[in-house]
Amino acid sequence: MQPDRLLSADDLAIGYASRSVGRDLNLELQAGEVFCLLGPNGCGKTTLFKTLLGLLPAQGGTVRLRGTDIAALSRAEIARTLAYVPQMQSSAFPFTAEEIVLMGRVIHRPAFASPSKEDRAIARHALERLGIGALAERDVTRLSGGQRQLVGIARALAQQAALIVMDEPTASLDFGNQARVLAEIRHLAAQGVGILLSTHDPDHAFALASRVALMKNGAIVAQGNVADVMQQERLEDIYNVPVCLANLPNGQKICAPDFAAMRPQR
Amino acid sequence: MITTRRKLLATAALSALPFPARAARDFVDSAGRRIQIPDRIQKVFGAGGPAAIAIYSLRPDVLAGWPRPPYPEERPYIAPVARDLPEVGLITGRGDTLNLENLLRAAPDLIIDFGSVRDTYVSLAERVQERSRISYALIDGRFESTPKALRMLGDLLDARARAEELAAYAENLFTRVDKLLATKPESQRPRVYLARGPNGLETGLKGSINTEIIERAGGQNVAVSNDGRRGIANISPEQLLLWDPNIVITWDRIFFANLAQKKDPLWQNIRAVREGRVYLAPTAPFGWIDRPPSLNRLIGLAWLAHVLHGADFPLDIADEARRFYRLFYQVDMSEAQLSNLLAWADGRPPALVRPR
Amino acid sequence: MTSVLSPAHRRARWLILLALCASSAIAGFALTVGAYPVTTEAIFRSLARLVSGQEPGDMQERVLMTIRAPRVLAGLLIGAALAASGAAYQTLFRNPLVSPDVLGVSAGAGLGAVFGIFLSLPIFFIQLFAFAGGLATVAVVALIATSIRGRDPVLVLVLGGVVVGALAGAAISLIKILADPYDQLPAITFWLLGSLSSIRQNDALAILPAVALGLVPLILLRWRIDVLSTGDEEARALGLPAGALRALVIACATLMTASVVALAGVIGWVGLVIPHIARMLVGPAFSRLLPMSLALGGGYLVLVDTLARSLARIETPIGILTAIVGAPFFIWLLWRGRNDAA
Repeated sequence: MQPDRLLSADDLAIGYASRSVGRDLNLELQAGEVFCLLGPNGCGKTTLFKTLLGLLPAQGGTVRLRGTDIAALSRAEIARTLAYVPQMQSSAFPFTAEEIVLMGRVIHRPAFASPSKEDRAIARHALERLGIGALAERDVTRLSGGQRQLVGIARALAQQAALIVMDEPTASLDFGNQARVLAEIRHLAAQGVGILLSTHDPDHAFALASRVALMKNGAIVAQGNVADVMQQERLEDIYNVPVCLANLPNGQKICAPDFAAMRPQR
Repeated sequence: MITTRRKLLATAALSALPFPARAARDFVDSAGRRIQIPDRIQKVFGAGGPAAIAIYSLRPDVLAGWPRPPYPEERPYIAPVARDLPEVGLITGRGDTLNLENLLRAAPDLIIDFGSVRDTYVSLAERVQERSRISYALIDGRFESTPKALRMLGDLLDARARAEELAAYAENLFTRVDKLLATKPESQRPRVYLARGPNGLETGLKGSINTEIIERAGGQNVAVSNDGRRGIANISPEQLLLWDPNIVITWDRIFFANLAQKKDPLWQNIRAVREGRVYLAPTAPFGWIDRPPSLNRLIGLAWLAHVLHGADFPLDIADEARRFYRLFYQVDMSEAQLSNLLAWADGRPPALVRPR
Repeated sequence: MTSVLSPAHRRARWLILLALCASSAIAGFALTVGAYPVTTEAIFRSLARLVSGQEPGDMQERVLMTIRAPRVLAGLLIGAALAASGAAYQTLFRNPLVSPDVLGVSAGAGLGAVFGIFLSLPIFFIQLFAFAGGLATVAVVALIATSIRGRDPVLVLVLGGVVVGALAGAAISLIKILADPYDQLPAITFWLLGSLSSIRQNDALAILPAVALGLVPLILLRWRIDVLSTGDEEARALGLPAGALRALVIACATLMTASVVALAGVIGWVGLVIPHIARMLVGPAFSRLLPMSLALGGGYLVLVDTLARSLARIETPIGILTAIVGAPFFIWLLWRGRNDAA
């Protein structure tokens, strides 16, 4: 058993008792790497993540966390290794950002405890790492979508897990907020925080990931380094549109639909 | 046999609807309504408990049924002809437990309500009468007008001689009590509390039909509302202490038994309890002081006046009960039945059995 | 970074303290109000007797010690318990508009009590039936919720509560029709409206263990209950066994509600409105919401009960008053929140 193999899926089948979403999924994540799951909407990314997190039972195959079947682990044991940033950060009640972030500390304290001084320091630090220390006392229900997403990431940081799982962290954010959230994720990745994220936008994979897996209709069609996997034909296949890959002057790689090659579909 | 005949009659009546051709006469009820009464009356429907008792007292043979079937302890005190009558429900306005179609199927010759003749009940009577084509008479059920109501019912039910007999009893009793009251100025009348409900903190306020017997028997109902309310109400223990009645009457056997065990410190502070003046009213076949408020209260009036005033209202309760039960309920009580009833009125009721 | 408490947090502490003082003042005031005239001096005399363990001397002291004080104490306890379980339910169901009877505990307790009245049982058994009925109803709802899988468990619970509550309501109506209209029907009606009028000396003590048993886990788990309010999936991802924790919180809140409903009948609105006000004052964190709800709930119920027993010689059922106060407040909340994105 390799010590650096953090999370793996072997011949995983995902979905619900009444509806299969995907099968024969194999993945392997090392500690500290940034891994991007790329695929169109509805291909099963969220279901896969929930299964990897143990929130949904596997319909076949196994998920292993540091070599142990996740089905045999308690929620607390899982949460010490995996932190989750769900797609929609919603709160029914006007908790402050700090209170939300502090919730990431709950497994590190005994069952009957309140947040300690140390927890508060960790929570503040997590907020500051993401540049939103000023929002600590603000009511999260009144924050913008991008700010809420950053609060969610801060909570995952405070959880001090080895890997942060982010389900489409940029979904439903506007252009500027998408960029700001991505920049913060890049910054974290540069500091050695392990991240597994999903996105439907190839540009985000180019911007963030060291490794990437392409997903289509519940199956992983390719995985490996970004440069090897993100080929024009593959992207055209999973999105079913002609695309153009290009390098920007600053060295950043981007992917755009090739409108010239597209004919209106009737 | 009888049921078969009734069924046949019912079928005949149904086929003849909506206007059964019957010889009829006019009658003016207590609300001043002019209604048509069939000549031959064979089946009469009571709109509620008070009416059923009134009909039963005059013509047990024509009563269609009871609002609820009599409990086993009540049955011996009901004449055999009426003991097994079916449960027929109530006509109360909203949420009737009576189905109009069942009423039509039973095809009574007449519906009688005995009690309030206020507008609500007038309109209810009109509505039911209009829809069922069965004449609906309202008789004023105030305790004070009992003799008049009896004569009216006698006229209505073709039982004038019997009605006269019962009315004479009521008038005689009222006269006896009136003589007593003439010697008792307001200040000398005992202060009475009617305890209802399992904890005794439910009562009937002064002016309600449920407690008018207290004033009639020469007591003062302590439960006077200061906001014009009447009817049944819940009161606080403090209020009860403040009222501090001389006499507590109840018909609730559980409450009475609890009081006898002297467990509750609240009640031990009440003068009536300290002085042992808590009285249990029998409820067989019907309540003596209420439950329901109908002719059954006449025996309760005699009993209560004696309870409140003792020697000033001399009463041989055994004799009075025997007379009243024979006259109104047409039962000749055996010695055992009579002594059971008297023991009950003396605070030793039969065990509570309520099988359903 | 150095201060442990944020300014908002410190402000909340003061507010909770203030609410406790206000509730105590209300309770003290309630001791002076009542049908039976009692002097302030008698209150202090009674207090002295209580401290020295003496029996009450005169009638005034007896009224205070056996009727009024037990009722005020029971009011504090009942209001606090209803508000606490309301706060727990609201946080748990992530909905500020649910009340402690969302899972049918009041309807079930009502059914139990009405059945007890119907059978002409003594009061103790009526209360026992109410208690058992409340617990049983929630157990049935929980059973339904656990047997329906693959749907949002919280939604299934709430809908199950609505359905079972409606069934219990129908059963109550059925018994009302069958009940003796002279003895039982008025008793049923009064019971369903709720009242503290028949509280006796040791009644508050009798339900105290059950209320404490429900309250202590809520206090201990205050932080985890916050996490639970983020929803099932997030709470599990944060490392909590959400299902088990939710079951525990429901059991605690139900235990508290069922015991107070058994004692005082169905008293609506307290468990809905008080946690709401508490949240507006100290925020949603359960470590502050719970004590604030307890303090406000106790004071509020004593205040309303004092009205109920002093408005007229005849008791106004407290359920009517809490509704008269609560319903307009609720409409005000809706009106106030109409343009609120949150």
